[in-house]
Amino acid sequence: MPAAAFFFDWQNWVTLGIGLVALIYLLRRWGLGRRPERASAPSCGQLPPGESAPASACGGGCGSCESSGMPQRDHRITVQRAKAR
Amino acid sequence: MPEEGNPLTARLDHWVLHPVLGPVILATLMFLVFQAVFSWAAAPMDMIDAGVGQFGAWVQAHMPEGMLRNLLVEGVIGGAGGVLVFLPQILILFGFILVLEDSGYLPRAAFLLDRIMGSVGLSGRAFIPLLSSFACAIPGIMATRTIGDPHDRLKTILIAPLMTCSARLPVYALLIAAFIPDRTVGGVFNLQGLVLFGLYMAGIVSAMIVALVLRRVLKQSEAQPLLMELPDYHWPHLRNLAVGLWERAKVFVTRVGTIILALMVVLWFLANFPGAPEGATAPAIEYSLAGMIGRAMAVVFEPIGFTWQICIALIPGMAAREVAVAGLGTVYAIAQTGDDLHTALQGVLAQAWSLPTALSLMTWYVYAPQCLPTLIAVRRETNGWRVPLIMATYLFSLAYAMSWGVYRLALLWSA
Repeated sequence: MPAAAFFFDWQNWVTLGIGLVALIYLLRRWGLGRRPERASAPSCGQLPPGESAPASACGGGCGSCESSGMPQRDHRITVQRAKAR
Repeated sequence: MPEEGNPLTARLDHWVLHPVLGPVILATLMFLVFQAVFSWAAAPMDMIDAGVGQFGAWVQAHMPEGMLRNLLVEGVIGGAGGVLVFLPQILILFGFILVLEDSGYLPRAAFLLDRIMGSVGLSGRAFIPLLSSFACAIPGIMATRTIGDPHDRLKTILIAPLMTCSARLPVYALLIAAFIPDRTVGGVFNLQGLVLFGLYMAGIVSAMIVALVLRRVLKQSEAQPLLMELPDYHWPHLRNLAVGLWERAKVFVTRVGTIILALMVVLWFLANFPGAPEGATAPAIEYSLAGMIGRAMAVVFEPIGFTWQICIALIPGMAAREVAVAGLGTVYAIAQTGDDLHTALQGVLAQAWSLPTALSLMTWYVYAPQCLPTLIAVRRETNGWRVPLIMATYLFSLAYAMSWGVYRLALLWSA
């Protein structure tokens, strides 16, 4: 196809645009340009003081992911003893 | 084994957990599932196939000739659209698995298989990761975190990709439909379902053999008992079933609409540029970048019967196994011209390939680690590239050796 004919055909431009979008999508999906992930996410308990764990690290439902503070929720079961009369 | 509780559960467990009858019942159930995958899915698959074909013909007829029309017909509809056809088979397979899970049978299957797994040196805790690998090897490999002993965990990680994940189903379904006649064997069994069952069993048996070999190579740890609760049998909840199937369908359609579509667009470009020179008589793809890559790879894969078109499809197939089907759809859609162009890929393959080539490719897909995300997941789980490299080397070598054997045997048989 002559270069001029290629330039004036709208289908060529749309096709090239689709190709570019597909390529960018794949590159982004495969993490090009992203920071490398940590080999294995540390659990909340393994972190040094002041550092926060990523949300994927625990999944224990304590609600303290991304924060180095005390757990917001306590999932321990408290046994309610009947009071002695 | 429950001693008390629901009398129906106790009565059923008497047979289902029987040391001899139990495995027979399990094998029969799995066999029936694979029969149903082919028998029940035919009608909805034909409908989707016809819909995709009509849409392709409509675009071909109503759009002016140009690059965009070619991309839509060959890459998007011929490639990514062709993978959608396999949705009914995936839903039927997962429907059965969900029913077995929700009825309380699946934990019994784990109990039955524990003894077999123990005999090849696998931990009882390996069952759940290996079962998860039938959906996808990545959650299976991540689920090995529950295995405490590092050697047991490594063994389970190394054999997890041999479990037939759902992404292999479109590849198997396409090749079986194209090359295995749809006829009944022994008056009852569908031959296509039988072959599919055989492919799944080949993966399982091979995994057990590899585990047995690893048992000798790796240090054997102390046996870990499998502790699990066996729930009472009950009818599956329709709502759970519907939600589970909806989730599966959503995952599959999203994959087709995102990664598979994007890969097909890129493959279409590779298969069309550079264009054919003046006066060229062969299809344009043969002069393209993809054609050159395919021909270079064919030198290695020719001894196992692969054509250069298969070699092209194997490259995007590394991103996800089912992409190979879309890749073949795109490659063959481009290779054909004018009136020859149609979307019924299985008919094209049946004409273009021999039966030994098809059997060799099926065997390749039982073993080959045609999935980069799995290897990356192994790297993350093992904190390095050593294990994924070992895994890729042993699986590719096994795939090549087995495909070579099957190809040569099929050639001898068909001579």
